[in-house]
Amino acid sequence: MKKTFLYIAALFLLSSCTKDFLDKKPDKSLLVPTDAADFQAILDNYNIMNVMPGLGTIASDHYYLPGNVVKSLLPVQQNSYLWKDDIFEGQTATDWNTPYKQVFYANVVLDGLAGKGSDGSNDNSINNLKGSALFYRSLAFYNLSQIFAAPYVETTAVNLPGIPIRLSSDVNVKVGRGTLKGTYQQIVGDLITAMDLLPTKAAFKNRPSKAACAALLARTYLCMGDYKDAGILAGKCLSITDELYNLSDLDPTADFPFPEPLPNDNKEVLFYQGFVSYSFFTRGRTLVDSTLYRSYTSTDLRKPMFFYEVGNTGVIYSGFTGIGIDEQYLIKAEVSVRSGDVVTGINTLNTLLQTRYEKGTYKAIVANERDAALKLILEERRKELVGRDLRWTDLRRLNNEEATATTLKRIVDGVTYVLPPNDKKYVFPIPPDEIQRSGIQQNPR
Amino acid sequence: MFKRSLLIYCIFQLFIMPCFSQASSGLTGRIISSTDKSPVSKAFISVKEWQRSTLSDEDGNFLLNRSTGRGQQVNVHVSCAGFHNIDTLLIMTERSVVFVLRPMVININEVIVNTGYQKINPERLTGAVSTVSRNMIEREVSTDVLRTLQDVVPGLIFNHDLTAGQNSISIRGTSTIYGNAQPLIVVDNFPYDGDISNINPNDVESVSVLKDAASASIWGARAGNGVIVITTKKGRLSSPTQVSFNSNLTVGAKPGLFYQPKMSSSDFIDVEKRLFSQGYYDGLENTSDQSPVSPVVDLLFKVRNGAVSEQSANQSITAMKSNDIRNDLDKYFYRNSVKQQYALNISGGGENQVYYLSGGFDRNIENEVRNDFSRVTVNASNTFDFLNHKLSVNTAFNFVYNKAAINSNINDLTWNNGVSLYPYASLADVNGNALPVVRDYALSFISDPAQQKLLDWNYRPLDDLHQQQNYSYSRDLRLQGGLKYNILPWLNSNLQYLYERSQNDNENLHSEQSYFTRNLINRFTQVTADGSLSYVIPRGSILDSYNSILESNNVRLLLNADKNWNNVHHLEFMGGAELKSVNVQSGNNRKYGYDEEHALNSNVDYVNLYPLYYNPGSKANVPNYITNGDLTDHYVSYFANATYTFNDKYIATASGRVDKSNLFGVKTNQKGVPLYSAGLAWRISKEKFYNVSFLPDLKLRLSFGYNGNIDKTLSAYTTAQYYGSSVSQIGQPYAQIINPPNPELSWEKVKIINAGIDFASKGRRFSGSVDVYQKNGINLIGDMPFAPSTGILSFRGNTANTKTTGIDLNLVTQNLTGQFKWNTSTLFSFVHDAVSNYQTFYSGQQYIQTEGIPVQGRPLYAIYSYKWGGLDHDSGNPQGYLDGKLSQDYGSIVNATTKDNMIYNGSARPVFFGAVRNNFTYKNFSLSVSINYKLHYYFRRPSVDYTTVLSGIGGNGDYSKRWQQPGDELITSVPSMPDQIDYYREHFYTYSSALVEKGDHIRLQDIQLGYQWGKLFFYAYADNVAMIWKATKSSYDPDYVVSGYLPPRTISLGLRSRF
Repeated sequence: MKKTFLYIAALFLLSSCTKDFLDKKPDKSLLVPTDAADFQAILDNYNIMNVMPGLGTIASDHYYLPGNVVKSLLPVQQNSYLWKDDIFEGQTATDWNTPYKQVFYANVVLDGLAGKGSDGSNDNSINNLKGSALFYRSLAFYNLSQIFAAPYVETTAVNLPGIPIRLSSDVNVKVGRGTLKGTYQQIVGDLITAMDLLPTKAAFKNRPSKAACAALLARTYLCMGDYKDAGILAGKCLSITDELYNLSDLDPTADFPFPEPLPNDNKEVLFYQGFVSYSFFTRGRTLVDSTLYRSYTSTDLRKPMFFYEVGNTGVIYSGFTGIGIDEQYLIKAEVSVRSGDVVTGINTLNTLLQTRYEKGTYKAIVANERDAALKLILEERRKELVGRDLRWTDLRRLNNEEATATTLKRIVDGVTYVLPPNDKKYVFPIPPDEIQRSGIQQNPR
Repeated sequence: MFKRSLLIYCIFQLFIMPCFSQASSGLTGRIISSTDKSPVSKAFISVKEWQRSTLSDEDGNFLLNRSTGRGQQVNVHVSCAGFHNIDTLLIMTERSVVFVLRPMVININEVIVNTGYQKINPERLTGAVSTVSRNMIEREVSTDVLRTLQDVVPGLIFNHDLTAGQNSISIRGTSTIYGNAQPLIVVDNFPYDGDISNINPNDVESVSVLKDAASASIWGARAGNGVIVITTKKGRLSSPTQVSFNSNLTVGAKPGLFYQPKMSSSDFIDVEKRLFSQGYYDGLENTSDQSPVSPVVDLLFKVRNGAVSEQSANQSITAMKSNDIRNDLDKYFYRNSVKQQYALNISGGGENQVYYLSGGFDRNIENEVRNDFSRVTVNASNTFDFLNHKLSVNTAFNFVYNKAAINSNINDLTWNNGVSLYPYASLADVNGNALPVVRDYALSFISDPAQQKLLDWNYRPLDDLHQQQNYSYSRDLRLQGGLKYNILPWLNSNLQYLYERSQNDNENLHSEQSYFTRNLINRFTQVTADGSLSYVIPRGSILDSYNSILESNNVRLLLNADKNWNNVHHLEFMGGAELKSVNVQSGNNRKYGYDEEHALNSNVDYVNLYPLYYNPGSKANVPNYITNGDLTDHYVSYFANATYTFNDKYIATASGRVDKSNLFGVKTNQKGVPLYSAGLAWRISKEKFYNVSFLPDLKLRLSFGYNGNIDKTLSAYTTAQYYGSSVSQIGQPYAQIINPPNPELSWEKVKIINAGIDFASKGRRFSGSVDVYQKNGINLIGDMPFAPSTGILSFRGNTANTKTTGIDLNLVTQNLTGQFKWNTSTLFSFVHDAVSNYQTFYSGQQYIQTEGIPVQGRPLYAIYSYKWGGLDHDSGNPQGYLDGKLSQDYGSIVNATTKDNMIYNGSARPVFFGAVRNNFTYKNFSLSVSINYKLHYYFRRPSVDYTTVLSGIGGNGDYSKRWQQPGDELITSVPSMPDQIDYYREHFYTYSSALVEKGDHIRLQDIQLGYQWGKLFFYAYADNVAMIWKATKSSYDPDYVVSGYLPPRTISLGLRSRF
């Protein structure tokens, strides 16, 4: 019997040392994010964090598709291109899901960092991470607002629904649409907070910086019609970095004339972003609007560097998308003119444009009158920022003024499709699965 | 294992019949078989006290000489292969004895059941267990041990459908949604962590299948899907050396490649011409990325450009129309399979030692040309008894080496980014020389003289087939050791240890001649300013390797008690604890510029992007295939099991187990998961009042309890997956969140109630068992769709419950005895499962097109469809119903379909299934025929999908049955070809009820013919023989709807002997 007790004793011994045994990580490549390096790794997942929606670009007027290519597109892209009533046809929507995934990632980081490196502390890595997470989240909210919420007009923003503003990583928290004003207040407020936490320049272009933050804030103010603040922020961004390439210094005949934004090679890029993967953006099938293509003069280097020539028009160049320095020049130019300072506006435009032409061929623009100057700047804005996913927002905000309002038209297989200014189709429907599962309010269509 | 000598004595006293002696000292007698009283030769007889043993002669007689006193008591042991042993205490008189041996018959109730922890006498079972004996395992000719379970275990079914893998087994339906649905496989008391196909069926003594809670709950959290316990052959104490061998040769037919109906080459080309005339290919002429076009389209371009005359193009096209790639595949890529199997084993035992040694060799030449498989298995096990049987030490060694050549490129015969090769491709000329086919680039591009400086860029599948050098090797080692100490006659303690190491290595050498390597080198070739070439990917071969090493350590400590009080109370108790640790390390590696002769490789630049030669407008990184994995599972378990028998009539069992593991994170684990079961049995036929004379053996069983299941992919914490810096463009590691936090997570449980009857008639003319059960899956892990604004589309957690009810029936009848014997085994199973308590918000479309999304009140695997309204008379368009009216507005039909108004056709898994096996014996001949059936289920028949047809990549052969003119709607349900792709129209037709077929069928599975010639048994075996009946009128075999071809018929010839 003695031996029996020995065995029983051995059994108990076995059980006392099992705690470490059961703490063993099941998969070494798995982590439960806890420290700064883990959170940095989450935010460095640029395949998620640096992806932007594409339906606005598909629905706007930079590109056109031949009829047979339209038919080959998947329903969501096809419906967006033709401004159909039903866009998603019961399907889930990448354009909605991806930004909200970014919001979730950012919230995981923010919740994980809560209580660490309190504000005002000197822990730069924690502050940078907090600032980055706020920036990514704001960018996602901004992108969602451009597609799924109405254009911002100060007077009506309190009455219109915004987009769900999720500020916690707890997936069980229920959030409604709030107001459009609330949405923009959150974006602006978070970006202002982030500005103080972010480094002046980032080590890699997929990571946000103070300059990128100022640029995004300038962009946000511009679309809100707050030209004064847009100008201040654009100026702030340009005071950090205003370097442009002289395109003639690059090789326009090269297959890839621009240096890659990632990791850190393109000085004109403030923050790198890519489109969600839609076959629309696959080079070779989507053509550039021929009027736009013809508007580049023969010495304008952007023509060979942005596009491939196919037949009489160019084929989409899906290179850099995201936030660039050139955009800040254009914001500064536009808001200067809008505030009546036509000289600063045109000078700023000329500073940008002279870098875009073959050496010695650029003739500085002269314009003294506000409306003419504004028209020129907006035209140049369209030409410079083609393919940056800014056109949809521009169409929406410029439709507010009769002078700059645009009617879009497409003819496919003999059928004409028209999108008049301020049409309710400038706001995409909320995807059906979201409506079904969270019960939030649908957009009129 | 158990000391039950007293009991055995009581039982076997009945079989010792006195008869007159010839007056000699010692022991004389005769050994006969209980069934036909025929003599048993070569039976082993030993008397312990005399330390003497002998064998019986041809007439069953034996003589053990020894002068002995009258009245002396001796322990006699009698054993013979194929019979139950006799161990008895004999009082010496002047008489000789006749020992009547009971043969081990093919009857599940006659075999000792092994749960992996205990060997249990079936008489004391309260749960549902099926045991497959060696005879049944030997009946089938197979490399794979699991295959031998087909059609012999009630409730066990092989799933061949889309969502299941090759060896997918369900026992009594499925009671998990996303967890592992496979039963736990235990080999010689420990779960088998390696590849189960490594086990040689020739080494297997028996297989026990544990189906209910009472039998399986001892395996706790891994027993939810049932447990298959495999016991390998062992030697026996005091038995003479026995050698047995088995050898067979199996020849399999060539696969029938025309099983899946495909669009003919002629139809295919006509569609290409039509698409061409519509301008479909216009964007593909001379594209910047050199997109390939098929040879016909290429010709049409040439005609249009005037490079080729219309007449000569038409001639070529007519010639191509008569090609069918399947003829070339049949001729050059497939062959008859040939499988050879050799197995030899030696076993025996002395007073204090038993041994078993075996070796096996399998060599399979597969149907795919250049694929083969060979396996060597070596086993050795020994048990030594010390201290007068007080201490026993056992060791076991199993080693398996296998090598597989995976050289067939049949699955890679694609073009244009993975599309199946166009059906009119010609792979070889009349002399059998390889011909090039289009693959990744336009013909005009690769044949352009400008490309001559590069490596040849043509793709010749037949050349590639013979250049492949893709081999995988696996070495699996199991070392087992055990110590058993008999503390008291009724109490022993047992320490067992198992070390398993399974190493898999795959090496795929893409030689510089292979298309794979030539293409990759060419893609990355850079043209420098002076026109010379530089290679980003160095010249030479590319070696891809995959290695994985699994190591597992298992320690188990057991305490066993077996005590009998006055033959009235009998208690068996087993309790213990175990630790298990499994670690798998794996990695992929690629070597560029590999020189196989000197094993050298070159470095490449993975970091920078390089313009691609064929499309300088795009850039890419050199593909990097370096990955590493390191997985560890740890388990700690405590368990106990007790069986109490009263008066040999009433049996009560109880079993419990607690499992903890590192899988879920400590928080969840601290709770552990206690799983338990209880059972009762009543051997009613032992009661005095029982007087049903035709049914002398009747037992009632009832059991209840819980088993568990594990989903390894989940954690209670937010978890993220790390990716290395080498795959990031910024050279930094990055992470992907794979689990949102889930503090509520708990283990899946299955509650099982089982009631059963075992019965046998007089002389066992008929015997069998019936089990009725209910299984409730509780806290099953399922996906809950979440609003996408939360950042996740679905949340995986404990969301669903399921309820399964079923009946298992097993009946063995001896229809004819005597010289011509005929017996029949009948298996019948009924399984009905339904999801309960699962509320989801998927769209009707998602339920219909994704098999396996649970719907409340429906089986887990079910077929749903859109209501079919026939074809339109004027257009041949398919018609559905919208608001109860015929409609062709497919988008609206699809979007108006919900979970509640979609059509539920029925279960996708058979509700009734089973098998009938008839065995005939006449003199030395035996014949066994197995027929199986699966009834009451549905499958979706593939048909033409114009999305692919109108994309120029062909489709189903139903194309030729399509509606072409008004009136056709009366004879076909295949819609007309639309002018343009309409996704909803295709989706509607594909998932309409017009394409749902009944899966019911009866199949003649296999036939075995045997002839016993002395010690030699010759056999012939045919497998996959024929379909006897199927409900569907289509050409599909409901078991293999998506397979490229049916399992080919095989015929084996073999020889088995034991001496």
